[in-house]
Amino acid sequence: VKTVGEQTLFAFADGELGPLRRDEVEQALAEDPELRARLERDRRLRAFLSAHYDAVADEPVPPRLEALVLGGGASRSGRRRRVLVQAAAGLAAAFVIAWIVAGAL
Amino acid sequence: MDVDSIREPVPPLLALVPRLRRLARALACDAGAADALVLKTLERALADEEKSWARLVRQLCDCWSAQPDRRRTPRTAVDAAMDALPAGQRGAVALVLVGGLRYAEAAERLGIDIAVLADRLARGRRALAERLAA
Repeated sequence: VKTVGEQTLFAFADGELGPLRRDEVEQALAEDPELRARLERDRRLRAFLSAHYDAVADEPVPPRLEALVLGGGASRSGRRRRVLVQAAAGLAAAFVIAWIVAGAL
Repeated sequence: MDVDSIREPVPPLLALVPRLRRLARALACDAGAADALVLKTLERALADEEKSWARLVRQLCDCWSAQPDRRRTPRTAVDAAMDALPAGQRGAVALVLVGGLRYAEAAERLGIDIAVLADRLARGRRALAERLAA
């Protein structure tokens, strides 16, 4: 049995190996308790990380972020676009008034 | 009303925020810094027509890569252990072990070769295991 390197063992744990190399690692695992212990240590690390970050996902979404998403982009660019639209509308209104006034004179 | 609001995504962007905060926390190592990163990412996402998870991850990675070591104060053992990793290793660990990305995807998001990703991932993983005595 070939020795299984660190990166290969991790790739095995991450499901990144092709069928041939996966078989090799499985065979090595069956015969080598030390390798099984290394894999188990890595499994514990992954479980520990998952638990920590799952807790973050379970937190309520901060109001600031929720407001941003529900506002559909009350972001800087969104505000800038709205200001431009308002300015254009104001300018158009001024032209209409000027036209009416000019027509009345 | 513009065209964007008609093409409202299913599931809506808000439903993806908890998952985005989870991944951002792994990259930023600190609750405040992570939410600042999420805010920046969401601002980009809202300006974008496509609002998929894959696109969000890409935008998150871009925002993080632009400033991978912004000021932060890790308060938990895991945050501190991730914080102690060089940014390259932290990115690899976050995307693969926390985000569940395939190696090829993670390498692409980080703009590195897949062999480099595997190397950084292995180093990061070893350092975390030692630090957390897992």
